Amino acid sequence: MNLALRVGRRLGVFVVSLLGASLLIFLVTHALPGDVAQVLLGTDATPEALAQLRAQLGLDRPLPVQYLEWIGGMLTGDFGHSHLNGQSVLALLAPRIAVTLWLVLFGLVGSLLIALPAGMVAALKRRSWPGFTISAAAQVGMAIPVFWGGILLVLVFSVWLRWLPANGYVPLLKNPGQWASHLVLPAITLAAVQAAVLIRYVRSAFLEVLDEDYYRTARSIGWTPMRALLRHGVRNAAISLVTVLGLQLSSVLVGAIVVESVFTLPGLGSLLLMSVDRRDLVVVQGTVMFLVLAVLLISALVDFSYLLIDPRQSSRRAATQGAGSR
Amino acid sequence: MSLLDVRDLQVSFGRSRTEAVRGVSFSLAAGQRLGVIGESGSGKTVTALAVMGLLPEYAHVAGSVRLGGSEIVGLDESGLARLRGNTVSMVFQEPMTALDPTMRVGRQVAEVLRLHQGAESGPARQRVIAMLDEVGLDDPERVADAFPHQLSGGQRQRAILAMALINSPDLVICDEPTTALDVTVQALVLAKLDEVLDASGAACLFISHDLAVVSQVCDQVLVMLDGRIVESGTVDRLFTAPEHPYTRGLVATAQLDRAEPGQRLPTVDDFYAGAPHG
Amino acid sequence: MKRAQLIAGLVLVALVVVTAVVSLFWTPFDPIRVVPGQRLLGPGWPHLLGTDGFGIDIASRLMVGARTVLAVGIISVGLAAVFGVPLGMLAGQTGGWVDEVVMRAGDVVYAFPALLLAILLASVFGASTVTAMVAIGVASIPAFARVARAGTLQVMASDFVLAARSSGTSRWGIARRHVLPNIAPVVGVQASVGFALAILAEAALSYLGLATPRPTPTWGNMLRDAQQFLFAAPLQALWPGLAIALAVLGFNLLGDGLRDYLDPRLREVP
Repeated sequence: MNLALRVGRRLGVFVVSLLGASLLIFLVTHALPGDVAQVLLGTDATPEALAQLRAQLGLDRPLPVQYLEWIGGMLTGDFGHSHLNGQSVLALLAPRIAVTLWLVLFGLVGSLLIALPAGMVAALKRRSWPGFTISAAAQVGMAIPVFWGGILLVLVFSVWLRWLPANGYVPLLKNPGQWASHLVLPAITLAAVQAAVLIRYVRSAFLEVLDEDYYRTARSIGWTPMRALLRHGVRNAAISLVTVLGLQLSSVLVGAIVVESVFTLPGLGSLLLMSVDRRDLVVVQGTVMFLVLAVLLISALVDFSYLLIDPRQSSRRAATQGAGSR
Repeated sequence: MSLLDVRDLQVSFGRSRTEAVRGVSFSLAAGQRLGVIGESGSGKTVTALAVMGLLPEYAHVAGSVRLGGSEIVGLDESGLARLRGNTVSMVFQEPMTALDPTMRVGRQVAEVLRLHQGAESGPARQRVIAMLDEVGLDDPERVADAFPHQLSGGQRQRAILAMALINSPDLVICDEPTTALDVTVQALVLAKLDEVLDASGAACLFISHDLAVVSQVCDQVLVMLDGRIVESGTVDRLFTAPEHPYTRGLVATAQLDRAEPGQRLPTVDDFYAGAPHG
Repeated sequence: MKRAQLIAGLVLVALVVVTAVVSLFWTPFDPIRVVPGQRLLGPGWPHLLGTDGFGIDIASRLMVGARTVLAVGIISVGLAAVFGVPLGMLAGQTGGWVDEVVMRAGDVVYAFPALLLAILLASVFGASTVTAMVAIGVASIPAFARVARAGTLQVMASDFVLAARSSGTSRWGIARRHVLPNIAPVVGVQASVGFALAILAEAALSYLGLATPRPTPTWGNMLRDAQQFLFAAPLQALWPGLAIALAVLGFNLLGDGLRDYLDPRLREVP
C-alpha cells in the first residue's frame, strides 16, 4: 500500500475513534437514566429549582443539540465550565497536566528500560534458570495491583527506611531535587508494574527472532547469541513491539491515575476523583475526553513510528526489483 | 593434515534422542570441494550445522569434528564465534529470509569484516562493493544501499555468497544454496560460486539433494541416507558405476533427459525400496 | 511444568471460591460491626491477622471480600462474553463492512479503560458495586469480540464449514453447530485471563472509592483504609494486597495452563 494512503487511512481511523469516544462519553453522562440537576441539588430540591438549573445547564434542550454544542465547544477550545465554581475545565487541567505527563513518561520509559533487557534475557536463556526466574517474576508482577505495589514501596522506603517522602509534589522549577524525590517512588511503582506485563511481549518478540533465518546468518558470521540478538534482533522485535506499546499506553495512563491517588500527587487523576466526589459532571466529562484524546493521538503517532522502523513499509528506494543484474 | 576432519559424528535430538546422524566420517583437504547428497532427513544439513557448531541446544553431539586443527565438538560459544565467519562460513538455503530485513545489504556484508578484522566502515565499504561486483551483481553500489526486500532472490543469494567469502574463509559450507531459486538463476549462481571459489582457493562442502547440481561445483561426492554415508567417490564414478541401489536411483533421476520418450520417468523408488519418503 | 501451572492455578482459584462460600455461613468475627475498644491490634489470637482502624477482624473482612471479587468477576466477565462473543462471531462470519464497524467500535471502547468508564458512571450514579461491574464488563467486551472473531475466521475457513454451507446449512446453524463449539476453548481461556483483569480492576476501583463503598469489605477498600494507618499499623496493608495478588495469579495461571493444555487441539481446528 502507498504510504500517503496508509497515513490518510490511519488519520481517518483517528477522527472516527474520537467521534465515537465523544459520543460514548456523552451518552453515559446524558442519555442514561440519571438526572444531573437532581444529583447537583440533592433529593430535597424543589421542582422550580430543578427546572431552573436544567435550563441554566441547557439540559432541557434535545440531546443532539446538547451533543453538538459540546463538540463544537471543544473544537473551539472550550471544554466546558465547572457546575460548582464556574471555572473553565481547561484552566483546571492546565496546572495538573505536567504532573501526569511526568508520571506517564517515566512510567513508560522506565518499564521499557526494565522489560527490554529482561525480556531479551528471558528469551535467550529460556531453557535455563535466568529465563525461568524472569518469567516467574513477570508472572508474579502481573498479579500485583499497582496501588498495592506503591503502598509496599512506601512501607519500605518511607515508613521503614525514611529515605523518600510518602506523598506530595513539588514542581520541577521550584526545586528540582524535591521534585525528583517526590516522583521517584511513583515512577518506580508505575514502571515496575507495567514492565511485568511488557516482559511477556518482549520475550515472545525475541523468541520469534531466535527462530529467524537472519539470526542464524548472524551467528554464522561470528556473532555470539547475545550480540547477534542486539544487532539484528532489537530492530526487528521493535516492529512487533510498537503495536503493543500503543495498546499499553492507556494502561499506563490508568496506572498513573491510580498512582497519583496512592501518593496524593496533584495530577489529572486526582482532579478526576475529586470531581467525581463533588459530582462535578462537566469537569469529569471534559477531563475524560481530554485523556481519551491524548491516548488516541499518541497511539496514532506510535503507529506512524512503525512506518519509520520497518524499511519494508516505506516506499521503495535505491535498487529496485532485479536492478538489471540477473 | 586435512582442513576438516569429521570422525564418527553422531547427532541426536531432544529427550527421545531421535538420531539424525549415525556415525559419519569424512575429511576435506584445503581447497577441496566435496558434495554431500541425500534427501531431506538424511542428516546432511545436521552434519553441516555440526561443523558450524550451530546445532540447537537440545542436540546431543558425539564424535569429533576437527576444523583447521581445533576440535569443534564441545567448544564453547566464544570459541565457536571466533571460527565462524573467519575459518568457516555458510550459505543457507533460503535467500528470502536469511538477511536482516531492517538493515542495508552492504552493512550486513561489511559486518563480517568489522567483526573479525576491526575494519573501518570507509575501506570496508570499498571491499564490500568489490566483493558484490565479484559475485556478479551488476550495480554493486546500489545493491549495497538496498534493503533485502528490494532485491530478487538471485541477488540476495549472491549477496549472501559475498558475505560468506569476503573474509576469505578456509571453508565455505553451502546448504542447498540454489534450491529456492529459479532454474536460470540457479545456473548463474552456481557458475559464480564455482568462479569465486576458484579465485579464493577456499574449500567447499556443498550440500544438495540434486546430483546434477552437485556435479557443477564438486568433483568428489558423499551419498547420505538415514544418517549414514552409503557411498562416496568422484562424480564421474558415481555417474558411470554407482554401487549402492539408492545412488543408482539418484543417477537415473539426475539424467531424466536421457529417458526414452513415452516411457515412465524413473524414480529413486524403482532402485531403492527403502528410501524414506518426504 | 505446564501441568504444575494449571494445578497451581486451580488450587488458588479454588481457595478463593471456598473462602467466599464459607464466608456466607461463617466468619470468625462480625465483618461489619465496629468495636471501638480493639482498634489496630497486631496479628495474634483470636484476631489472626489483627484488627483494622474500626476494630474489625481483618481475617473476617478478607473472607467476605472474596465474595465481592467473585461476584464482580462473574458478572463483568459474563457481561463481556455475552456481548463480545456474538459480536465477534458476527464480525467474523459476515466480514465486509459489518466486520469493519464492529472492530472499529471495539477500538473506541478499547481506548476507554474500565477506570475511565467507572469514573463516568460513578459521577452520574454514585459509586457502587454495580457501576464497577458494568464499567469492567463493558471495557472487556472488545477483548472477547477479538478472540471470538479470530476463532470464527479460522473455523469459517475449514473444510467442514464449507461442506455444511454447500449442503445448505443456514448461517445461524453454522454459528451454533460449528463455530461456537470450536471457539469455546479460546473463549474459556479469555474468560480466565479476563477474570484476573477484572479482579485487578475491581480492586483498583474500590481502592479509589469508585466501587463498593464501606462498610461492605472489599480487598481494595480495605487497602484504602489501611493506607491511613501505614505508620501505625504497616502490616494491615499486606493482607488485602496479598489476597488480590494470589487471586489474580491463580486466574492467570489457570488461563495460561488452559491455553497450553488446549493448544494442540486449537491448532487442529483447521
